[in-house]
Amino acid sequence: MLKQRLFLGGAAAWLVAGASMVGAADWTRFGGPDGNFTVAAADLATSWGEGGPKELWRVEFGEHGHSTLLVEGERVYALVRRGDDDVLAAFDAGSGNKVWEAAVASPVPEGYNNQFGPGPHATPLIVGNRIFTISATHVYRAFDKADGKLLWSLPLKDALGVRQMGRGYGASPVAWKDTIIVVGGGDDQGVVALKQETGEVVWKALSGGGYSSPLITEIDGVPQVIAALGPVRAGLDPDTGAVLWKIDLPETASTTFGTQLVADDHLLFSSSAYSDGSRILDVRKKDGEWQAEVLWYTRKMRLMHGTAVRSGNLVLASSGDFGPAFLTAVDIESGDLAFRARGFAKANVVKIGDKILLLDEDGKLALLSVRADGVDVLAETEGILSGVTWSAPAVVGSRAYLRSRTQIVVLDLGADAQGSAGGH
Amino acid sequence: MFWQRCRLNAALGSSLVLVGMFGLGATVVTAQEAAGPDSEAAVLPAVPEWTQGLQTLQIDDELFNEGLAYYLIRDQHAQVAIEINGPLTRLIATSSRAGGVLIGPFDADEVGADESPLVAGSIRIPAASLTTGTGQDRTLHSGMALDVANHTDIAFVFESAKTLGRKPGTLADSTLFDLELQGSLIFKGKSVPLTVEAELTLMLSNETTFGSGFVGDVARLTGEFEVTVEQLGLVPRVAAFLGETAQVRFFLMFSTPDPERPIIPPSTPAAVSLQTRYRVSLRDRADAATAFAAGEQLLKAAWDDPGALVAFATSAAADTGLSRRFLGQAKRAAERVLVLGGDSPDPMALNVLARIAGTAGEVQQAIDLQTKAIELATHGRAARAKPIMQRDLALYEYMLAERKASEER
Repeated sequence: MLKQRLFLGGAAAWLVAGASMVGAADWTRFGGPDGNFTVAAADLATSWGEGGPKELWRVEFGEHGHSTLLVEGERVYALVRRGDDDVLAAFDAGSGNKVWEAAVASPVPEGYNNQFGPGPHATPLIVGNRIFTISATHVYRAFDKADGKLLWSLPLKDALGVRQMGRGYGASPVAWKDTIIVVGGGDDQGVVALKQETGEVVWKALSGGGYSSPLITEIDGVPQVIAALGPVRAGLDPDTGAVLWKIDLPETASTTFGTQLVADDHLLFSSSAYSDGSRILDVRKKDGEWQAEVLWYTRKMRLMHGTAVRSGNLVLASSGDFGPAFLTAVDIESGDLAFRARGFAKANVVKIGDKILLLDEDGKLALLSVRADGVDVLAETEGILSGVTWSAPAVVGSRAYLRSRTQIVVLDLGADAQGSAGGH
Repeated sequence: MFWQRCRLNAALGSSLVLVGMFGLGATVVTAQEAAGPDSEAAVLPAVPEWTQGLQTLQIDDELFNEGLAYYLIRDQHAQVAIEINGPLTRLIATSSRAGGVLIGPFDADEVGADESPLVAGSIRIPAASLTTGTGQDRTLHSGMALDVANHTDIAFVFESAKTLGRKPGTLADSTLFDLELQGSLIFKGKSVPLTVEAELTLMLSNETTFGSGFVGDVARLTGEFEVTVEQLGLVPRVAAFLGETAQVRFFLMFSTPDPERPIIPPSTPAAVSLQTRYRVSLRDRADAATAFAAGEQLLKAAWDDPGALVAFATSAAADTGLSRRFLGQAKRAAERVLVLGGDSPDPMALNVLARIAGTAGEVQQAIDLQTKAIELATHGRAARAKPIMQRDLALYEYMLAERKASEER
C-alpha cells in the first residue's frame, strides 16, 4: 500500500521497544498507520474484570485540546493546551516519564469562538526527525523530534491571509514526499502543500476551507489527496495540487468535521452532522476521465467530529450532534441502516483486527465485536479518563494510548496483561 | 414490538387538580408584580422547581436501546391551558413550565404503517405555575382546588399509544400522526384513567428547524381533552361552582438534546462554558431560568476578569436570536469592567451601557456613553464594532430629536 511507503522513519526505534510492540505499526499521524483508524489484529483480552484493563501509566497533562496522541517506538508525543500556550511533549512510552517539552505562545484572537475550546484540535504528524503541529489559530510549526526544538513556524494568516476559522483550525496534516499537505483557507488556497524542511509553500489549490482532515490515498493506482472543503469533495495530485476530480455536494454538506474514509478502492465515505447526513461517493477513472458520483445518501448516519471505520460491509461511527449519539452502522453499498447501539455517549472508534475499540466523550472505554445487526460488548469500563474525551485512541499492538483534555493514560489490552495486577 | 414494550414506573408522590376557584379571592400580587416591571425577577417565572426525586417515568434500558427520548422544551415551547366555563364563573389558567419526555422513534420512516410512533410519555406541570393572571390565582392554588402546598405536580403519563392517522407534514420535512394516548392523569396522589387525542409532528433536524432555533430532532405534540370535575376530585362546593367539565389544551415542543446533559461539554475556563450555557439556553432552548442562573454564576466566577465580563455583557445585550434579555446582568458586568479598567474605560463596556440606557429611554445618557465608546474604539474588537456603535448613536440622536419635537408639539 502507498501509505506503508510513506513513513520509514522510526523503524529503528522498534528494535528497542517492548515485546508487545514488536511488529506493530507506529501511530504517527491522524488515523494511524493507514489513516483509517484501523490496525492489525492483536491478541486482546476479551474481558477486563472489574478494575478495567491493565493501566501502564497515567499523567495529568494539559488543560485543553483534542489532538490524538502519536506513538513512535519508545516515545509518545502529546500536543495540548496550557494557558495561552500550545505545548508539545515527548513521554517515555514505557514509564510515562516526560522526556522533553516545548511550549509556544498561541493566544487565540479576539472574536474566537471558544465553544469547543482553544484547541489545539489538529493531530500532529511525524515524518522522519520532525513533528509538525498546527494550532487552532492556523500556525503551522515543525519541531525536532529528538528534543522539541522549534525548527520553523508559519502563521498562515500572515503568509497567505487565511481567515481564522470560527472554532479554531481542526484539520490534521498529511505527508507526501518532502511536503506536508494541509487545509488552508480562502480563494485558490483551500489546500496547501508546505516543504517539510522550511515551511515554504510548494503549491496551493482549490477554494474554501474546512475542519475535516485531508486524506492521502490511491484510487485506480493514482496517488491523490482527498479534501473536503465546504460542500466540495475533490481529489488532487499531491505533487502539484492539480485537481483530478471534484464534486459539489449540497450546501448542507459543508459541516463535515469528522473523518472521511476511503472504504474501498473507489468508495469514499463522507459524512456531516446537523442538517446533513452521509454519502458514499464512487470515484474512479474511466476511459481516461475521472468521475465522481454519489451512490447513496442517508440521514441515518450523521457524523459530527469523531472517527468512522469500515468493518466488513459496514461503516461504523457515532452518529448524532446535539442530541444522543448512537453507535451506528450503515451498509457500505446500499446506505441501509444496519443497526444503532445505545449505551455510549458520543464516541471515537478504532478497529483492531475484527474488534472495535470505542472511547466515548465521558471516558468510557469498550471493546466490541460487530455483528450484522448489532454489537456485542466484550468488555467495558467507565471513567477511564476524566474531562471531556474527544481525542481518538491511538493503538499500537495491544497498547491503547488515550487522552482527554487533561489526562493521558496508557493501557495494555493484551490477553497476557489482564491476569497481572492492574486496572485503573 | 418495541413500541409496545414500555415499562412504566410511576413513582408519583403527589399531584393536582386542574381547576380552581374563581374570583373569590382577594387580589393576588404576584412575585413579578411585587418586583416591579423592570426587575429581572419580573422576567423569571416565580414557580417552584420540580420536586426532587419525583420521577414519573423510568424507562427500561432495553427500551432505551430502541428509541429516542424527546425532552420537553420549557417556556414558550411548553404551553398548557385549562379552561373552565362554569355556571357562575369562567377561568382560564395557563402554564409554560411543563416538563417531560416522550419515547419516540429515531425517524418517522422507521415507524411501520400499523405502529405508533410513541410508546410512552410523561408530562408534568408544577401546579403553582398555573396562573390566571387575575386574582383568581389565590383560590386556584388553595386547598379547595390545586392545593399546591401539598401537591406540587400535575402529571399525565401514558404507556400506550395508537395511531389513528398519518400524513406528510407541509413544513420542515415533517410527518404528522393522529394519536390516541392511553394513560393516567395523576393529581393529589390519585390516578384516573384518561385517553387523550393528540397530533404528533416529527421533524428531523434540518435547515428549517435549525433556522428556527431548535437543536436536534424535534417533536411537537398538540391537542386538547376534557376532564370532569369528578375526575379531578374537586370538593363538592367548588365543583358545583365550576360546572361539570374542564377543557385542557396543550402545545408542547420536544427535542432530542437532554437538558441534563450539556450540548457541548464545558470548555475552560468556567466563564466560557457558563457563557455558552447562557447563550444556548436562550437561543436554542428558550430556557430563561437556566440562562439567568448561568449568568449569575458567571458574574460570580468572573467578577475580576474584565475580558470574560465584557464578552458576557456584550452577548447578553446585543446577541441576536436570544429569546430574552437580562439587561440587569449585562449592566452589572459592564459596570464592573469599568471599575476594573480604572482610568482606561473599555469601549465595549460603554457600548453595552449605552444600549441599556437607550432601551430604558435614557436617550441623552445613551448618546453620551455611545459617543465616548466610539471615541475610544480605536483597535481590536471595539474598532470592528465601531460601525454598529455609530449606527446606534444615530438611532439615539434620532430618538432624542423625535422626543424634543414631540414635546414642542
